[in-house]
Amino acid sequence: MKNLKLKSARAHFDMSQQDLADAVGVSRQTINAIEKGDYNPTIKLCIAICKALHKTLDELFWEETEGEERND
Amino acid sequence: MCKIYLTFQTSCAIVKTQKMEVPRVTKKRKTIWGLVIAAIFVLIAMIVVAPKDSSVNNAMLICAVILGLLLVAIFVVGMHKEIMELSEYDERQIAMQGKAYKYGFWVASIFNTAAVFADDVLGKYVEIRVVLMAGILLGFAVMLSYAILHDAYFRAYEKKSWFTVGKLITLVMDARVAYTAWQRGNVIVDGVVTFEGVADLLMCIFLTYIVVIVMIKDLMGRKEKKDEEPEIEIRPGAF
Repeated sequence: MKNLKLKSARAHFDMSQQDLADAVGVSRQTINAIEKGDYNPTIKLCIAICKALHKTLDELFWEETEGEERND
Repeated sequence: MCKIYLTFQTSCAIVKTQKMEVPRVTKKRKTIWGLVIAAIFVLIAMIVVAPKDSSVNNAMLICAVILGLLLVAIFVVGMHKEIMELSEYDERQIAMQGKAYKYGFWVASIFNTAAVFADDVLGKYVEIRVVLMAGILLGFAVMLSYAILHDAYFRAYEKKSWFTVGKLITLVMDARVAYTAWQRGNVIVDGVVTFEGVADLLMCIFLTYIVVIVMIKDLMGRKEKKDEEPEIEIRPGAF
């Protein structure tokens, strides 16, 4: 599943995939794979990305299901 | 407008402070490499110049082996930190490499096992060593293809151009040897394809395949980068 929250958070800071990759110490292709939903990062990488983008884990990586959306 | 400017400044600062540093060749690394190369020359000289007398020859051979082991120990201990820095693939690349090794292993194992069982039939046309080498190269090809196509072969700062140039040089050298073997008529002897005749040809095919895969991946990567990353336009006077 695509991670659009990550992409929009990155765009908010005007960061390219390469900039974010350099910030967290991974390759650009890894960031691309995470945004496309082709790779599930470890919690360590998730936290590093959140720190780089000044967001929480929920804001970037929580998948909302239909039930949770209705309850909200 | 101030908020946008401050956010941009903050993000630039974050990127700069956390930017991955490219490891540079240190003096220590140059010294160790220099010692290794010098010792290799000494080893070769000892083996070549060693007198024919068997007892002295054996003593020199033992000294050469001990010297070689000492060199490996110095290299590993001295370069450990540098090696660890250089071998930093990210977690996704390591995961993909694991899969690549697995697939390559299974392909080579199944191919070579089948070749051994089929030797009675194949042996009339091809030497078993040729088939086994083809199997190993096939396993390597699968492993390298998977790693390269999933961006798990090259580290972030590695230059693909150097890799390609190195492979092309090796390819030219192997092609020369393969051509010589073909000229001498070593490829097929008594109706059987010989190892000495086709080993270099197999390597040429393998190296060509790897170079082509790297070039295809490079083209795919450029297109992917262009599609995924629209250029960020900074309007003049925006800040």
